[in-house]
Parts: sequence; structure tokens; C-alpha cells
Amino acid sequence: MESLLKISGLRTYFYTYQGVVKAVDGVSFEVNKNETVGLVGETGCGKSVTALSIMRLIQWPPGKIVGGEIIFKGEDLALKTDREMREIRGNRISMIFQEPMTSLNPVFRVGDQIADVIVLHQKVKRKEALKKAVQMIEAVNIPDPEKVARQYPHELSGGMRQRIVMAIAIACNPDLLIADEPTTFLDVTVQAQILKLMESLRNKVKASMILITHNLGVVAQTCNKVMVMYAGNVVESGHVGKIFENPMHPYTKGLMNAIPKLNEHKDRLEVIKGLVPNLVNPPSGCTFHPRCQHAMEICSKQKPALTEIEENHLAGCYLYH
Amino acid sequence: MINMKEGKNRINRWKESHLPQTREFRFILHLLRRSPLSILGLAIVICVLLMAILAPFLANHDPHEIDLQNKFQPPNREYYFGTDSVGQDIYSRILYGSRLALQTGITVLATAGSIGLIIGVIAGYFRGKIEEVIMRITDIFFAIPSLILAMAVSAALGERSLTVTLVALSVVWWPFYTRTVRGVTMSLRENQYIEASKCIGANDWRIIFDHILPNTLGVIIVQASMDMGNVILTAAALSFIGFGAGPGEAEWGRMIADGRFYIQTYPWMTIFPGLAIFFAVLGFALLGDGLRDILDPRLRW
Amino acid sequence: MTSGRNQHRLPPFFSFPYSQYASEAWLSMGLKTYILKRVAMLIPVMLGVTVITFLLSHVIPSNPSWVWAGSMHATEETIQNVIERYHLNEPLYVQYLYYLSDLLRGDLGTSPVTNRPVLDDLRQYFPNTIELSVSSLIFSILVGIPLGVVSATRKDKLPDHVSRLFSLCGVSMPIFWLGLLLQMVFYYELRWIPDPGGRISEEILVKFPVAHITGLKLLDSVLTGNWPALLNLSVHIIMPMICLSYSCIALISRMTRSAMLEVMRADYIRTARSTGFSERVIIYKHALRNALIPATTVIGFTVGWLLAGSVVTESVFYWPGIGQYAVNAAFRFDFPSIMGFTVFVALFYALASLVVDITYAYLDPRIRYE
Repeated sequence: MESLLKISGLRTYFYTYQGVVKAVDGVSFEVNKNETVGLVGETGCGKSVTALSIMRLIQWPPGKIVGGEIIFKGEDLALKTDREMREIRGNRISMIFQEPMTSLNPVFRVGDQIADVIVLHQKVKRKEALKKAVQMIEAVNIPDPEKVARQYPHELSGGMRQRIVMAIAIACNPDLLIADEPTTFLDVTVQAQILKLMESLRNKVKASMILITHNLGVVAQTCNKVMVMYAGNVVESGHVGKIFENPMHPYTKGLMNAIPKLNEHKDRLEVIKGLVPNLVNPPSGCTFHPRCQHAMEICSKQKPALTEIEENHLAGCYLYH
Repeated sequence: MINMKEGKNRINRWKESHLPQTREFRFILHLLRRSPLSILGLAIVICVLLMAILAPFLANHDPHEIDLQNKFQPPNREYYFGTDSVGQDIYSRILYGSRLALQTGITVLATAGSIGLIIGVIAGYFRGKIEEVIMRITDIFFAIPSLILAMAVSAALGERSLTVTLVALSVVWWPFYTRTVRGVTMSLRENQYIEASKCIGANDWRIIFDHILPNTLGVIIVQASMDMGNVILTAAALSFIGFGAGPGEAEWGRMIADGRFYIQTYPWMTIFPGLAIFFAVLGFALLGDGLRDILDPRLRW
Repeated sequence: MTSGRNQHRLPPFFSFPYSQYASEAWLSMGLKTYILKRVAMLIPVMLGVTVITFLLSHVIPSNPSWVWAGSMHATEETIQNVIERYHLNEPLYVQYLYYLSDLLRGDLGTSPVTNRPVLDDLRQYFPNTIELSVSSLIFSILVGIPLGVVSATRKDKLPDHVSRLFSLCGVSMPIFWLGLLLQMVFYYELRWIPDPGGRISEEILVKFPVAHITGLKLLDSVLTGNWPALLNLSVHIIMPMICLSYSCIALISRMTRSAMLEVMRADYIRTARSTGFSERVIIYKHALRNALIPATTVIGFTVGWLLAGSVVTESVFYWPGIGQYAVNAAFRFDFPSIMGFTVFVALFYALASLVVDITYAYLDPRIRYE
């Protein structure tokens, strides 16, 4: 499997009035060609910030990438200038954000918004770009694409807006698609459609996808590989089947246990004790140790590195060292 | 701006250990510190207030004392800002003028604010036909520019005096407060604690007094501090045209009108009163801006 | 959606908003009905204004007939005439009906001082006010909006502080004082302008009189190629225009700045950045277009402000417009003129607001479909 994106030791900090928020503190993972990678974790664990860091969309002030490498197709994105990044954004790497209702510019027609991106990256004439935009709208399964292209975002429903956002994302045939909680704000039936659509688009365009979500069900459905994040670190990663069958890290185990299953009989749902840590003052060593049942002395002293437990399955926990 | 020193950590720990109110207060102080302009505004407003209160002690002449022998004196040690066409000391007149300016402003805003509060709450809370009617009426008032409406009201009332100006400006300003209060009331009304109150049987008036009115006061205060400057300006403009203060009254706008024809030869008669107006209005504008920035939660990161 | 793109040919301006479909916006059902609705809403408001002016002119004064007859200059005879003419002895609602019908016929009363119908006086002076106000408005927009954008994009740096200080001074300074200061510096001290005010210098008026085509002297002198007059007129309009514009520039730039700051935080700007547009394109195309929407409401407010400001500015610079007319009328206790002026200005302001509302709907497609 050829490597498309390789992140090593990424650290992104936010300097605020209350202190330094270590949103991403040493994240490493790899995305290969033609695979869907899931990035799972609770709200605030650093998934979105990781995605924004890849795209170099972290605004300074208050945020900054302070360390690490982001190797995309052989080049380190962390070192590129803004001008070089602009050629990559929307073109080689695209992002889909979580709120479809507000992601589109309200004063421009939808067809124009897609065409603008095509004109920007592919240097074609406007007429041709508009034609291509209509094709894109068709590709995302919206009926009557000619009519829709002339409409404004507020005339479309949430699901349709999300599809338009996807159309913008794939318009230039990107190599990598990052979807940040694309279905969180949509209802379940629409969710299924969107996921199926994303999968088919990905296959058509032959792109890889990073799917960020807190919904384990979605991950099980669509991803080849999963990365579990907690408080700015990746705690477990590997092939989706292996992780679901055999979660290693206590946090992952807690997540799996918390999902109600049809074939189990339980009176109460399991919870992970404690609260998500304040990232201004994260716990020392392993960030999960205050909530972990199996915490040992070394857990509070040194952060465990991700070690390979079996093939395609890594975990960062001293239980397995 | 970015402070990573030990001191910050200490403050953080102190803050964690104190009550939410204290934390909030400290945060507001921090915001104020970051905005030196608001502090400047506060300082200027306090200055003007002191001018008004301490006028009898700070003035070294009677503002209405006519002394034809000393007319048109340039600024000197005796008359700090010079004298006007009948020998009155401009410095003392400016000090007493601050009283008139503040009186006008406070009276107008209190009146307009009270009327606006009552009508606005009724419109925003009870909605329906009453709201429609009230909004149409405010629209009608908005259709006439402020100064021109004030002129028309002053002309209709006949007399040329500051009292007439007070009435005219109150008539001009009440729709602004009605609209603001209505907006706040409408959004407050949608809050769930209002529904909860209704569920336990509170009647409308009780809800209005207990929940809605206290929350509108904040908005009114911010708006009043921003409007104060405008009221002072409009009052001065009215006096300049001839509608407000009578000849000889120590009102800033009137003083500029009096000095207008001597601007080539005795410019101090117009410069100093104008500076006074500018200074006062600037202070209120800065303060109003600062208050609004502090009370707007979105501007804090 | 309606007509085909080729059916109507519109001037290039209408395709300005970067869309091939923009020409249809003008013709779309949404905008047309919006305009009609707005015009329909105008009528009750104007009626309401007439009620207010009626109350002010016929009800509030303690002695309407005396006041309408000219206060000091009133004689028994004129008072009797006034009572008959304006039906001041009838019950109030009858008076109002006469008042309204007079207004609709264009009769704003007769000035007891000049003995001319008020409307004629206003018509004579109005074009000058239009010239001054429109020039000031255009100037304010051309300066104010870029200033606001620069202020927003360089927030908390030197240009921002300078422009905010400038704006604050603009809204704090009394215009009449600013006007007097400008007069003092540029005329009395520096002699850079030929007159302390006025519309046109005496000599130019005699040697190169401006033909009366539209009544707008600047336009007329351009149309007739009267360059000396044009130069002189321009020199005379600069001071009052700067004076009047200062506060408007302040207002517009403040609003543009806060609107831009608000818009730049929006999600769709994040989307635009993630698709690779340069910061400049994002600011001037994606953000500004959205920020113009609240800025337009301020511009509507500015029109009213300009009308009010003309009153004092024209007075300071001896500009022969309706503002100067109103101040003179006030000075001479000419009550009908003041009231006529008020109605006139209110109507004009309402029409101008209508134009602003339509522009607003054009800029913000969400409004059209209410």
C-alpha cells in the first residue's frame, strides 16, 4: 500500500488568555492510497484541529503548529509557504466541514460557488467551469442539476447543502478528502445516503478519505483503518476489524463498552469515569491515567509511545509494553 | 499580549479558587486593560461630571457677568479662554455649560428610556396587533430625521428655551429605545425559563417585572451611554440654529453661534466651546464602545 | 425560474456580481414582488408622517392661527385670512382632511414672510441640497468602505487604531463647529478658497452663467461645457462636502469594520479558505459582499443624517439649499415654511430609504423570498 499522507509527532498549540491549550500533542499516523481512515474521539480531543493542521488552516493568533512533520506525497506540508498551500487546498486535499447550513456563502449562487473553485485551480473559462459544476451537482445525486445550480444556499435543505459542499470538495479530483463530522447535523436517514455517496465519490475519484467522527457506528460502516484519539494524542490505531473485535487501550475498551448492543442484556450503560481533562493543564504522562482502572505508576510519569501489538494494530499503553 | 510567565499561572490558580463573580470581575478588568480607549472614555466622562458638579468652585468669574470694558479679550491669565462680545468669561461659561449639557442628556435619555422601556416591553411581550401598531408608529417617527423632527417640535411648541429642547429631543429619541427594548424582550421571551415560569402559574405582569425588565436595563444602559453623545450634539445643533438656549445662556452650542461672526478676528469664542462639546461627546462615545465590547460575549476569546 | 437569459439585454453593471445568472436576478419574481411590497408599506408610513406634522402644525401650537399668520408680523386681517384658508375653525378631523388634500395637491402652505408658496421656495433651493448631499454620500462611501475594510483586516495594528481614532473624532465633532473651523483655516487664514461659502463666486456668475437644464449646477455646467463655472462650482462644494462627509465616513467605516469582522468569522469564509482562495480574494469578494449588507442599512441611515446635517452645514457655508432655507425660516418665525420643509424632507427621506431597501434586497438574496 502506497503511503499518501504520513504525520509524525504533530503538535499544535493555542496560546490563549488562560494559558497554552495543547490541542494536539504528538500525533502520528499514516494514510495510504485509496483507503478510508476514521479519526474517532470525544468532543475536544483534537480531531478537528488535526485536520485543520494538515490543511494548514490554523489561524495565528491564537493557534500555531509547533512541531512535527506532515508528509504528503513526499513533501512536508508543515514547511510550505501559504502560497504553495493554496495550490494544494481544494485541489489536492479537500475538506468538508460539519455544519452544512452555514458552510456556503449566502450571497452567491450554488453553481457559481462550485465553478469558482474549478476556475481557480484548473484555469478553464467560466462557461466551461459552469458546465462542469452542473456535472458535479449531478454526481452528488441532486435531481435537476441545472435548476439547482442557479439557486441560493438558503433555498436548499441541509442534506442538499452538504452534497453541494461535497461537490465543491471533489470538483478538482483531490487525492485526499478530509470529512469533519459530515453527518452530525443531519438526521439518520440522510446520514446513510450521505455516507454511501461519499464512499462512491471516493471510489470514482480514487481519493483517500479521513473521516472524523465521534460515532463508532459510522466508522464501522465505512472505514478501513481507525485512529482513536484522546486529549490530543492517538491512543490506539489499526485495522477497523481488529480494533472493534479486540480493543486494547482502556479508553477504546471504555468506548466500545459504552455502546448499547442489541444482543446484550444490561441494566445500566457503562460509562468511563471522570471528565475530559483541561488541555491547558493536561495530566502528566499518559493523559488518560486519571480515569484509567489499570493505571500504574509509570503511567503518570511518561507518555507511552504507540507500539505494535499485532499486525495493523498499535496501542499506546504500558499494559502492552 | 501573550503572557506565558509564572505570574499568569499564579493568577490562574487564584482564579480557580475564587467565586465565579470575582472571576468575572477580574476578567472584565482584564478586558478593560486591553482596551485603553475605554479607560480614556471613562476618565473623560468622569472629568465632565466633575466639571459640572464643581463648576462653582472651578470657575473664577460669574458666567453671566457682563463686563463691556473687557469684551473680546484673548485668552490670558485672567480669562483663561478669553471673553466674548459682552465681556463674559468663556472658561466659566464652559464650566457651567457642562451642567446644561449633562442635564439635557440625562433628562432626555431618562425620559426617552422610560417611555421606550414601557412601550417596548409591551410590544415585545404581547406581540400581535399591539406590536404591529407600536412598530408602525416608531417607523413613522424614524421617517423624519432627528434634527429636523426636533426643529419641527420646537417650532410647534413656540418658545425658544432649553425646556422646549428637552421635550423635542425626548420626542425624537423614544422610538430608538422602544425598538431596542422590544428586540431584547422578544428574544428573552423565547427563553425556556419564561415558559417554566408560566408553567408554575406566574401571570404576565409578574414575568415582566421579575425576568424581563432587569435584563432590559443592561441594554438600555449601554445604548444610553452611546446615545448620550448624540443627544448633546443634537441639543447643541438646535441651540446653534436658534431653537434652544436663549441669547446669553451659557450653553455650548449657543456660545458657538454667538462667536460665529467673529471667527476671523476673535476665534477663541468658537474654538473653546466646540472643543468642550467634542471632548464630552468623545468621552461618552469611547465609554459606550467599551461597555458594548465588554458586554458582548462573542468578542471574548 | 423564469425567462431565458437572452431575452433581456442589460448593461454590464448587472453582471457585476460574478454570476452569469445575475441578469436574471433583476427580473426574478422575488425582487419585483419585494419592491411592490415595500412601496405598499411606504404609504401608511407617509400618512402617519402627515398625521404627526398635522399635530405639530395645527394642534400643538397654543395659537395656530396667529402662528400661521406669521407671529410677530401678523395683523388682524392676515389672521382672518389664515383661518379661512386653512379652515382652522372646523373640527380637527375636518382640518386634517383639508390638510391632507392640500398636501396631495402640492400645497405646503404659504410663507407669511416671503408670501410665496412654500413648495415653490423649496423647489428652487432643493437642487443645491441634492448636489451637496449626493456628492457627500458618494464621497463618504468611496472613502468609508475601503477604510473600514483596511481597519478590519489590520485589526489592532496601526492603520486600525488610526482609522478608529479618526472615526471616533468624526462622530464626536459637531458639524457646525467643524465647518466653522474649516472656514477659518482654509478661507480666512490660508485663502485657498475664494469665498467663505456660497455656491458660486459673483464674478463667475456674471461672466459665465450656468444654464438651467436640470437645476443641478454641476451637471448643467458639464453638459454645456462651461469649464470655468465647473471649476468654480467644484471649489465651492469641496468644503461643505468634506464637512458633511466627515461624520458619514466615520459611521460607514465603523459599520464596515464591524461587519467585516463578523463576516470573517463565518463558516463560509472557512470553506473558502479551505478551497484555496487567496486572502485578498476572500476579503474583497467573499467577505465584503456579505459585509456590504449591514453596511447598506447604515448607508440608509446616513441619508437621513445627511439631510439633517445639511441644515447646519448649509447655514455655516451660506449654501443656498433647503437647510439654509429652514434655518432662515426659523430665524424669522416663519412657521409654515418650517412645517412644509419637514413634510418635504420626510417624503424625500422615505423615497431614499426605499431605494436603499431595494439595494439591500439586491445584495442579500435571502430577503427577497420572505
